[in-house]
Amino acid sequence: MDWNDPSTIDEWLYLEPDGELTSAELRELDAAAAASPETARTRQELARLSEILDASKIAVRPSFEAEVLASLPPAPWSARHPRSWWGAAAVLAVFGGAAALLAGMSAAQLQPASPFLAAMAAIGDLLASSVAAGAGLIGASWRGIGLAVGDWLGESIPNAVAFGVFVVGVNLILLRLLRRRSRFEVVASESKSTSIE
Amino acid sequence: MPSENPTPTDAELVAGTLSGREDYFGDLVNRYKGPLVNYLFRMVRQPDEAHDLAQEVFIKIYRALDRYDPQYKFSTWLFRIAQNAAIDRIRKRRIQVVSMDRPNDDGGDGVWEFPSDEPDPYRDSRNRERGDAIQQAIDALPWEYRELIVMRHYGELSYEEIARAKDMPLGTVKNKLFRGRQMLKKSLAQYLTD
Repeated sequence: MDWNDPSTIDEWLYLEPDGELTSAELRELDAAAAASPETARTRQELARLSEILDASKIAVRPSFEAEVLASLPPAPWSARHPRSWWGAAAVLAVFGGAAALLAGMSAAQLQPASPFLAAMAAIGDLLASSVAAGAGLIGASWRGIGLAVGDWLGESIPNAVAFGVFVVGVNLILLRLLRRRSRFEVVASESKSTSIE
Repeated sequence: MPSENPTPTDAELVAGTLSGREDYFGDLVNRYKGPLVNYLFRMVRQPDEAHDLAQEVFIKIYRALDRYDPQYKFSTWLFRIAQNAAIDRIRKRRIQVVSMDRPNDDGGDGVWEFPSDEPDPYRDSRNRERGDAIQQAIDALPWEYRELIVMRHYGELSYEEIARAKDMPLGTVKNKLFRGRQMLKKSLAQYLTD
């Protein structure tokens, strides 16, 4: 048999395992195999070849599909899908609603549409006034303390000297506390290493 | 839509995925995972690497799903991407491949040389010897025959799908498969008789 120049029957023999033959071609092949033991043997061998190739397939690991789905990135096309805009639309609606409510309240100040809105606007005004008054008081207090200290220091030189001594004394006390703490830490670490030895 | 059809087409599953149903993509993965992993396994020879590569291919496909043209077969597109991924992986490994794309000067075809010391998946099976022989016979095929044989037997692609994936005339695909099988039959002769 010359395999470099395959005849039609030879070609059909090789096409048969792939299911590429028509029923008419299959019938002709059956007839050829019945007439020629060599054709029948080749046919059998090719069928066996397909069988052993199929049998050599590996099994896909069971978790494969789940792994693929878990590792899917956000696809560029998904951003263009209407569903992806729903979240943004919802946020926009919430902000829009809040803005509308505030606008309604502002309008209610000018011309109260209902007693509830008028009451809410009044409470808002009260809170704003309280905050402004509190801030003013704190500012005034600090300004008052500053002025009082300034007057006291300006009254005489001993006052200024006493204030300077007070500031230096406080700094010295703080410095001493810090040094004492660091010395304590060194002693503690030394005693620890001694006990280990 | 897939819910109305017991066996949705690939195009329907793609459309479903694009409309926001990720589970439809799961159906596509389920449909093609076997052929794809086996095709890639025969290309890269490592089961774990084949799985990883198959996962990469599915992710690539997912990213580009909106560019899928339903007038072509999904399988053709999938295996074209898989083929490129496998070749890239093999090139990265710096495996010596003699003329993957064109015939040798003597008119023959380049031979895929794929040395590997890694464990073989058939070592634990009863048919270890036969498994080794099959792998060796496939490895010994010239690249263009090997590629088509693997696409047909392990990728489970039809002749037409192979022709489209490889941009080859149908007759050429038939001819190459014919010659590739002749070589396999010769190499595996001792396993073909009962």
